[in-house]
Amino acid sequence: MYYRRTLTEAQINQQLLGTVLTTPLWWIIILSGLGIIVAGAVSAVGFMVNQGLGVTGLRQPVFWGFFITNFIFWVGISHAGVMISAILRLSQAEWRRPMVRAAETMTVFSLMASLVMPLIHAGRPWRIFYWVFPYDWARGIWPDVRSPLVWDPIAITTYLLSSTLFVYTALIPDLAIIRDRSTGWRKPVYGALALGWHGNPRQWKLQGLAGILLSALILPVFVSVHSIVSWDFGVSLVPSWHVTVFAPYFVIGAVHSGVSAVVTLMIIMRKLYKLENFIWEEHIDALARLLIVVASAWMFLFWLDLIFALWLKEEQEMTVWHLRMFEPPWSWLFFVFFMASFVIPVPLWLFRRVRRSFTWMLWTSLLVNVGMFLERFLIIVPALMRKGPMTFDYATYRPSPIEFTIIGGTIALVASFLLVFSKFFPLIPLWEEKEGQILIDSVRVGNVDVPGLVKE
Amino acid sequence: MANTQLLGLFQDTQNVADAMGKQKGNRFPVEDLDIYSGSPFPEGSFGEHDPEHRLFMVPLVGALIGFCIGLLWTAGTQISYPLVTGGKPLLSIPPMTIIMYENTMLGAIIFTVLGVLFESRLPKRDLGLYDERITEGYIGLLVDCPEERASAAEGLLTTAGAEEIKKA
Amino acid sequence: MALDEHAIPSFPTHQEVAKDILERYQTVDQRYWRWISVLALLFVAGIVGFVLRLNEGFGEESRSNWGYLVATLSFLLSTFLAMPILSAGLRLAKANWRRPFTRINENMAITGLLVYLMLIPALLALPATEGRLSVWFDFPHWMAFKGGNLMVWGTLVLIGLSLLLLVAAPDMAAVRDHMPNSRRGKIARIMAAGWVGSTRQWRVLHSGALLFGAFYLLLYPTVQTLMQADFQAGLLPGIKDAIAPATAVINALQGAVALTLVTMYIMRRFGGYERYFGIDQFWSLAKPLLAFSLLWFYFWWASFITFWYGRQPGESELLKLLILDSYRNPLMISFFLNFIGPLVALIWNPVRKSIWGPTLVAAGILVGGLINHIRWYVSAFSVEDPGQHVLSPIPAGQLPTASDALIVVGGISGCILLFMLISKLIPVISIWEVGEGLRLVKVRKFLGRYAIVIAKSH
Repeated sequence: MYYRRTLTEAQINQQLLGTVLTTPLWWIIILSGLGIIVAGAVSAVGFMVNQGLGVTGLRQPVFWGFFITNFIFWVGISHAGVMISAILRLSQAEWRRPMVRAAETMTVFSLMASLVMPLIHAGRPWRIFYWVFPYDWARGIWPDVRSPLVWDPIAITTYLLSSTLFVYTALIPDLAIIRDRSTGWRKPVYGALALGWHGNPRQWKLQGLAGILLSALILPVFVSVHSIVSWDFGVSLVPSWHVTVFAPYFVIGAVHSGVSAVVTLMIIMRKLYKLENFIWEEHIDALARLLIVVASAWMFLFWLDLIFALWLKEEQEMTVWHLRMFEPPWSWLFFVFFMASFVIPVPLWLFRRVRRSFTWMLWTSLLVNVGMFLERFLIIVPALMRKGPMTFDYATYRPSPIEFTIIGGTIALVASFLLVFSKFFPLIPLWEEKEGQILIDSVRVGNVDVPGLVKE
Repeated sequence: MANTQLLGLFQDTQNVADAMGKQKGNRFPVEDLDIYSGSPFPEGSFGEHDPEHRLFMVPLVGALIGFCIGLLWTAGTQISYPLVTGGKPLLSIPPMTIIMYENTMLGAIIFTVLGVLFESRLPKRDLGLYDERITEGYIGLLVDCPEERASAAEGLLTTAGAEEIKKA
Repeated sequence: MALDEHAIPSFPTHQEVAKDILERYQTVDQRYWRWISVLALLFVAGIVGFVLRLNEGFGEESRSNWGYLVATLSFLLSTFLAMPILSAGLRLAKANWRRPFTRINENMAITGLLVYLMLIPALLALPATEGRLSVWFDFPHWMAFKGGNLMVWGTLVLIGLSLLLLVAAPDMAAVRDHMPNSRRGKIARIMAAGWVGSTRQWRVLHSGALLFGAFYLLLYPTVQTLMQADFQAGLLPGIKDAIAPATAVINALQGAVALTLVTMYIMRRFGGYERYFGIDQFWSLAKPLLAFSLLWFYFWWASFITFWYGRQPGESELLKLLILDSYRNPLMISFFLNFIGPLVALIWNPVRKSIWGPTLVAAGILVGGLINHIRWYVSAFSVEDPGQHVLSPIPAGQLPTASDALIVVGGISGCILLFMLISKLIPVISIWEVGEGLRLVKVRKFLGRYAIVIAKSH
């Protein structure tokens, strides 16, 4: 699979530390562009804080709209990191090597973006401090631990801290490489970050154990985070939300969108950073096959959600689903979501030629994330539009330009974080690539050398 | 008797493995030899000393601490300001379980990282005898020995094919 | 450290493996026939229990009599009939360590015949869909629900058997050539279907195995959905548990891994198959066993927290029935055996990386799984009026009668009996899979040690 031209350690260092040790012009241009978008989003937030939440499309009873959709979307994207890194590390899938760090880093930044969303959504973010801490002892109240809105930040913070520690621990050997290649002010900084890493067998053994242990520990956290986010909806009594399947449905949906985002990221990275020697067709082929399995499981859970939503034949439940599936413009969005999340990409991925094409995989992975954003939107908003039993409580929701700007800003924010990260740290783990090359071998069967790996 | 260190730099990994193999039990205890590499090799590739560690206990300790913290703050906050919400008991076990679980996992993960750093003997302020070419693909064979055996160590490294030998 | 010649791992050749397996296949131990007799007796006892229940009929009043049959049916679906999924899934994942036990998983497809037979009285025990919740909604009762179930389950059984027949062809050819004049040799000749081992035949076999495996994988959740929807959710007033089929699938995967481990252990201990079922197989299966045990809890919890938090009148009654009151003890037992026990045991390396550790845990999981299925289905079948809006009154827990015990024991014995019989027809270790695996492995000197190189064929 990964048995191409083997590179020397020096060559790997030189090719993967390109943007760390130098600053290409495209990096400055792209970062500037992203910075402008982020600045626009920050202005939009400022305008909203100044004018009030009325500048958004939020109205009674639809008080959760684009912001919460985006919150869930980014938590979903964050699931890619653990899926790729932890699960594939534990199952000893060799093809994970070039993508683990990018995926883990995307996790960290996606979680940061997701945490920003409830703060923006609060309208007056400073008041959140009153909610988290007892402002003065006379207020007589702590956060209500029985509320899923308290479980959420705890889970996301746990996941964020864990992912950050995971990224840093695996980064230490690479920091040592950069330390050894750096000059000037960078040398002591990277030296401090590398913590004096030598690369003796003890350290390597513990690095390997750290990978396994942290993977095993972070996996339950990964499952719990999006489950807890799903219980924001699942434990409520809003029609079409009070469903037991939401937890695994959200998690598998998160994996679906997250892994698709990793595909997008890998292809863009390959192009921008000229990583043809490290990111191959085999990698996106493997990711696409993983996506087929994940998407199929997601579709099964979606059908369970639908079937059992209609199971009790409750009027309000049926009303919500009717709105989603048959009343425009929601029905058009539903159609786009269904086509984009499953119907178009998954059959395409069944073809080897598509799976091994960077162009096809880029567009299908982007399509999946468009679809998955719409999926979260269609879960949240139509249910709130028909929340009440009385038709005079029915309302609609139309996102405002402010909300679109802020959503766009979060995408630019995560992209710029990744870009800045790549300036200081390599997005592909050097030591993992080198280890992968050491383990390459082959087994002669007849006249054919079948690629193989040395097993520890 | 003062100790000294010598670091031999090798390009060929097989030379290092051969050197380690030939000298075992004859000249230097395996605990006094160390290998520096820019990437991990399968355990035992150089016949190096198998390091002992107690890392597996550390996540358990962290989990226990995290569990206790979680229990304390979920139970403590609700008892401090008892306010029944949603018809649920004050100390509702299912919601408390969720938060205690998150704290348990966070404790386990933090302690695991700390344990890994500790067992790796990091942070280390001074790199000591080291060469930057190690992260370029060279293998370093470090010999820690008494002063009077330094020449024997140098001989071992030279015979093994070291490109350069550095002394502390 | 000098290279230790005695530390060099060694592997048998394909020829040695073929010779060994065919020799075992040829000789039929007396112990085997003794066990066949015992199992046959137990199976007959199960039939007796079934006939005793049959005398009481399938009416509304006697619906609660069939709870244990349905629980057994579900348990068998979630253990024996889930094992081909393991074969298919691990083949898709190209796991080399699966090769020695893959035929055990495939041979279990034969139990589908008994399970399918058991489905018929289970369907007859169900009330009509009119006036109660059903996944068939307002479709005509007989066609949708009985016809639909029979068709879907039947397709699953058919795919399983097709997979078995396909992947067994090369080994049946080996039997045909090894014992051409014996009765089994003649049957093998038919089952080998002219297999000669040409390139084309191998290509068809590999593609077919993947395809049949994928179909089995895709259809199995549908069968579990129907099992849950028709035999549990459809009888419990007010239940809306969308996760239940997914829970059943996860529990089935746990059961399949557990049964594979127990079967390997028994074959190792009593059949002398130590060289095939080594630490590698037990350790590798222990990891997914731990994962599925954690998922067992996760899926249960997702259902529980939604009902507990919702506090809707209908949900509270169901919680009392299934979790807090009537069936609390069975839940506690299966909670311990399916989650706590595996978690506490398997997080320890020495336990996970052993033969006895995963086997013991697996045995507990199987017992816990059976109790859990009893909790799901006996409770549902004991509800007097499935057409209510809210469950009332909440039925008490129902202990098994002698007939019920016979049915449970008979069903399980019948499946084991079928497996043992088929394993004397189709070699229980896949000669060609193990042989293929051995060709893809070599030992080489790696610097200062020996290392195993494993290749992956495409």
